[in-house]
Amino acid sequence: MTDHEEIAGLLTGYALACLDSEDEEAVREHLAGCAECRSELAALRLSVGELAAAMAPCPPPAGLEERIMSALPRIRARPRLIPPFLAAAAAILIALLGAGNVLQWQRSQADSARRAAGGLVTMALLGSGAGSSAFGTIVLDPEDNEGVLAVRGLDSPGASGRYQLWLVKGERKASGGLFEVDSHGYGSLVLDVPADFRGFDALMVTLEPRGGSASPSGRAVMQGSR
Amino acid sequence: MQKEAQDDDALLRRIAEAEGEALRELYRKYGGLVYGIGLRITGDAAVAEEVAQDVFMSAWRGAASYRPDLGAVATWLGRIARNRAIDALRGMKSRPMPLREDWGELADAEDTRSPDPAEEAGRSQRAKEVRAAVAELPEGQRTALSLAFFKGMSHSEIAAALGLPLGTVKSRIRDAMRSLRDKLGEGGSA
Ligand SMILES: [Zn+2]
Repeated sequence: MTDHEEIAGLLTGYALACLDSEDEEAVREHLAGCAECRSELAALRLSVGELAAAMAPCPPPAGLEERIMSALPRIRARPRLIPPFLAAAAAILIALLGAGNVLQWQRSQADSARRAAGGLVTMALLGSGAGSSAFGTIVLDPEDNEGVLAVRGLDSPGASGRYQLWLVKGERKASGGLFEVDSHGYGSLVLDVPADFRGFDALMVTLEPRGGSASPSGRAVMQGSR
Repeated sequence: MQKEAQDDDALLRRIAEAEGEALRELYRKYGGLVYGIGLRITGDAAVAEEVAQDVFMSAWRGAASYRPDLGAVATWLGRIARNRAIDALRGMKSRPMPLREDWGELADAEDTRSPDPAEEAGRSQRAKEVRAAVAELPEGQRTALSLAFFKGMSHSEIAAALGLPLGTVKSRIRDAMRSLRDKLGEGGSA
């Protein structure tokens, strides 16, 4: 219905985000089905970027760097060493998850979501939604400072996504970190509990963009509470 | 120049892996550019700061989608910053006074130094080429393009502001962008 020639003439305005709204709508519809216009648009956007990058820089205010850095979601930058007692617990958990005896595992967890084992605290997480077979567990040290999460049965988050663990305390939520799952659906994560989230009430897992989010943007795919 | 692009590419990959310090490096390198774009478009320091925060948060989230074959990091950030600034400008109760900014003026203001001399050195050559190409545009094209680029005005708003037929405005902007592309080539830093 829309004429390729006519749309091609509007692409510049589209790249500059300065089209009137009906034109913008027409371009968007046409782009979905026209590879030629999409590639032309990519080139035009590059030109817009070049025009912007040619503007003279201006020294930003002194506090801006820290404001930007402190707004980042609390996410561990690099993997770190797992404390030995948690590593041992995690190895057992992962073996349990891998044993495939799901029912038995779930039953043992259902008895008490929170069990003290050698001073460690465990919590179960179960997949949300009827179709989910995901389950997992988290082991925390007695002071609630750090823990290890192991999960099984999650779908791959895709190349551009990551699972993100959230600690829930009252109305507040804090990131517990990002994790991936392998081709068998296993994932694990070492968790640092922020000081103001010790004694948190619940945990949840959401699917987020690869860099993580400052607050959950999707629905929980797993949940657990004390 | 080549090394510069490689360094930036590596930086973006570290950001995609959620390394906070890499974002700090990106800010130290391009914070001046991003803040400058926000300030010049909105004319408001507080709004420009918000724009910069948004842009670096977008970079944090979107680093994985950055494609080095589709332009330098400065170009990528520059476009995000320009678009955010235009959004902010549209949301401002009182818009700044009509067009004062032009790339010609920016070229004159070139002694505005970036906080990072390396940043300036790496980018200024390309920036000069772009400004020169803009300066060579026929005045009618440059004016129409400036109103769209700096003010985010729509084709019909520009037509009204300049007292020109809509079709003339559309073709001026289109021709301006076309000749910039012809002059500057597809690539980033050749
Ligand atoms: Zn087309």
